[in-house]
Amino acid sequence: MIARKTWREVRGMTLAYTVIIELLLLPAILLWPNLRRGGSLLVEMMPAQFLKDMARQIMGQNDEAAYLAYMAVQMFFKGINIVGIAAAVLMGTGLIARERENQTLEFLLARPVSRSRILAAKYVVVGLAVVVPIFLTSWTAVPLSRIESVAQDLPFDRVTIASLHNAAFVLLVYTATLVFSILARAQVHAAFWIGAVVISQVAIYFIQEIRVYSLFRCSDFEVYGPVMAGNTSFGELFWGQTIWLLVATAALYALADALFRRTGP
Amino acid sequence: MTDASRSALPPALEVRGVTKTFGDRTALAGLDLDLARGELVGFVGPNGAGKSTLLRILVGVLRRDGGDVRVLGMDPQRRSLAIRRRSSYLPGETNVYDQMTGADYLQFADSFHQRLRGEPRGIAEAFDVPLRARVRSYSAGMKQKLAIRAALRPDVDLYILDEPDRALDASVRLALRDWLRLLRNDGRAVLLSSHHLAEVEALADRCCFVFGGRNVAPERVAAARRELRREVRMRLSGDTVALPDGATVRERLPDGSLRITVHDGEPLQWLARLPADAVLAVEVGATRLEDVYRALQERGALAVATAEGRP
Repeated sequence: MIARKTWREVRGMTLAYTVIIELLLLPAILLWPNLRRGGSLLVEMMPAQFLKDMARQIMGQNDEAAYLAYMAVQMFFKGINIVGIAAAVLMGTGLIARERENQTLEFLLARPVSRSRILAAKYVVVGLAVVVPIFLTSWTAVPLSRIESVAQDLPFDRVTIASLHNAAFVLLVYTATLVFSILARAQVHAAFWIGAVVISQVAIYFIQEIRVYSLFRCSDFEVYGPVMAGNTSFGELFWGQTIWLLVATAALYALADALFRRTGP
Repeated sequence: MTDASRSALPPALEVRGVTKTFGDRTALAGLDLDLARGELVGFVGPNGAGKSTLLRILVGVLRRDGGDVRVLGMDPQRRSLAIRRRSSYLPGETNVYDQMTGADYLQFADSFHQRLRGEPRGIAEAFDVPLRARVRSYSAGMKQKLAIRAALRPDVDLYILDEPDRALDASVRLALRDWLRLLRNDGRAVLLSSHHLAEVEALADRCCFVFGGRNVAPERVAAARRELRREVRMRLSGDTVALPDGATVRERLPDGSLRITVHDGEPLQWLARLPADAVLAVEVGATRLEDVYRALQERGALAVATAEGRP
């Protein structure tokens, strides 16, 4: 029942979030031919050296490789990293903090169900609401890329591997959000703290000298580009990088569970 | 359940010397409380006395710092889940889910319990709310009625109610009395925390007064009652009436009447010494719960010991 109640609360947001990713993806695909024609201009427009390098990689290759690199940026580095994280923060902050703010947490804590089960039911439902659209929207890019004006082949398996890694990254941010949601008195407080973490990570990422310390290095073009180009296999990506995101997620969830077991109404 | 089989079971509540602090604020400073099965006990005290804190400790929502607590024979810090399966708790400062309909809320609340008693015919009608409407359209009283229904429908051994009469009109309060009496008569234990002293007085088998995180010792309650029996409230025909010796005016009430304690002889004998036409109205030895409560407050019950008193 807690899972059903949680799903009712987030289903509207999940639909909106899915539509937003799709709406960002659609023009990106349809505008690819125009962008390809004005490639050198794109490189010049980039504000940072690593972004210029990224644009050069996209534009300097043959048409098929360029499209795959372009989609690595549009779909994963830009689209899902931004919208997915926004959705994770928006839905994740409300998980516990909104119950506390609305004075319904005490009712929930006094039900004959363990706190771990309450947390798990809420976490899984919102986790799926955050993660499933990542796969669904990525997969829609495969047939959309085949339309006549674009006429590109986007390999389903590479899209799926990249989606899995991106989903793991968003899941990590969502789980960190859950920790703040348990600690905060109100949803806006949780949003402030996780927002501060995410923004500082983005800021670090865009400073050339220290971007190696940003969490977004785990989910940027240098991760998705080789996957989409077929240069990184599933095993390499999963055991080399994704697994660490999942381990960190599990550790944060264990922390969230321990905090929730001690929390008051 | 027969009386014999009931007596073989552990009591509904055994609370001994419970303490709880929040930072440097002491919420409970050694509180004791007993509740037998088939008993309805009133839990009375001013705001911030620690009533809600204790109720939260009983159902495992909060952890105590010290003391010993047994709820249906179990420690809520070790077996809170089992306690919550066999009890129902109406939180005092809670809200109902605004986005749900009334029916959805009841279904959600019911889904956690294996057995439901249902709602007693002839009583539950007073708690009618538009179940198809969303809770956000409800008034405060309607939300409270819905919360009470959700709390009293489960078939459990113990009902813990924190200010259930909040925001209820008089007719619903009367229906609530009937519903709680029904539970008590059915052998269920009920702990009723309330600021409506008349409600508690009408319902409770016993009453536990809480001040400053401690309950008032029975001898203090008995002493307060003895003193109250010496109290006279009367309205005089004029301000110039001279009162006989042997009494002290404690308070002039807003309606102009006087609260007087007679310390020399019996109150009725003292009254007889007044001129017959001097007294317009008189009440002697009122020991309503609210009088006892006020008397305890006046006598510095905050500093009082541990144990419980009878209304």
